[in-house]
Amino acid sequence: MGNAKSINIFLAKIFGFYFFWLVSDAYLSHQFVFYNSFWLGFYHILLTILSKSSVFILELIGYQTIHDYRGIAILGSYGVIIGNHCVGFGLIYGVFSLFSAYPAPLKLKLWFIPLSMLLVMFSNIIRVITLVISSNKNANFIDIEQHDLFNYIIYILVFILWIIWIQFLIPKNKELQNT
Amino acid sequence: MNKRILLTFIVIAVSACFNAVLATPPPPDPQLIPIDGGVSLLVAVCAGYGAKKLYDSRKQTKAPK
Repeated sequence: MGNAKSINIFLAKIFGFYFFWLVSDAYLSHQFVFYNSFWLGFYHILLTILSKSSVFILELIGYQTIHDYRGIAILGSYGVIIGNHCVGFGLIYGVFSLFSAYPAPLKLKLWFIPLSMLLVMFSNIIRVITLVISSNKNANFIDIEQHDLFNYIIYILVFILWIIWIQFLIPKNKELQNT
Repeated sequence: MNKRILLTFIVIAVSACFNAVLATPPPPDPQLIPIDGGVSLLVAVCAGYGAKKLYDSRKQTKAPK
């Protein structure tokens, strides 16, 4: 770790992952039916987890909800719609790309990457629940600031995970390997 | 006859005003709540930070020699 080659490989992997995303999301999934169903399958899985978990927690804390495939609302409010860009596929993919591209022991990657992805998913569930409750309390919650605030919190969480990964986990693991 | 026309006109005008005042606005659509908007920037910042850390560790390993 730490030579010019590893920096180049790291940046090349990030670029590769990003390029794959761009091609898949913006081109291949629109051009080929089989690829479309494959790619949209990820969105569908994440949307189902996000929607069902949010409804489950909302009902657990005592709210009566109405929901369909994409919409969640507390009875008597307008609610929110979970579009494809709300399920966090891009964010989870970004987390996966970053952590898997950085040079680190495989053992460490095998538990930390799924954990980080789960954390991002869980924080997105909390975000959706909070926004659904906000729309119940205040129909004009649309005010972008509140919505953006949650996004920034999740981005900061990812950045903190990245710092923990680089500053603490990898050096500690390296020390353990050297002893 | 003219009075009737005038009366009809007044009734329509008044009811139109009431309608405009009392009509409630249509309910807003449910809100879309995207999160993927800033991911490219986030990945770029993290990648930059990661590359810097790799560069620093490279310098550290070179220094003792």
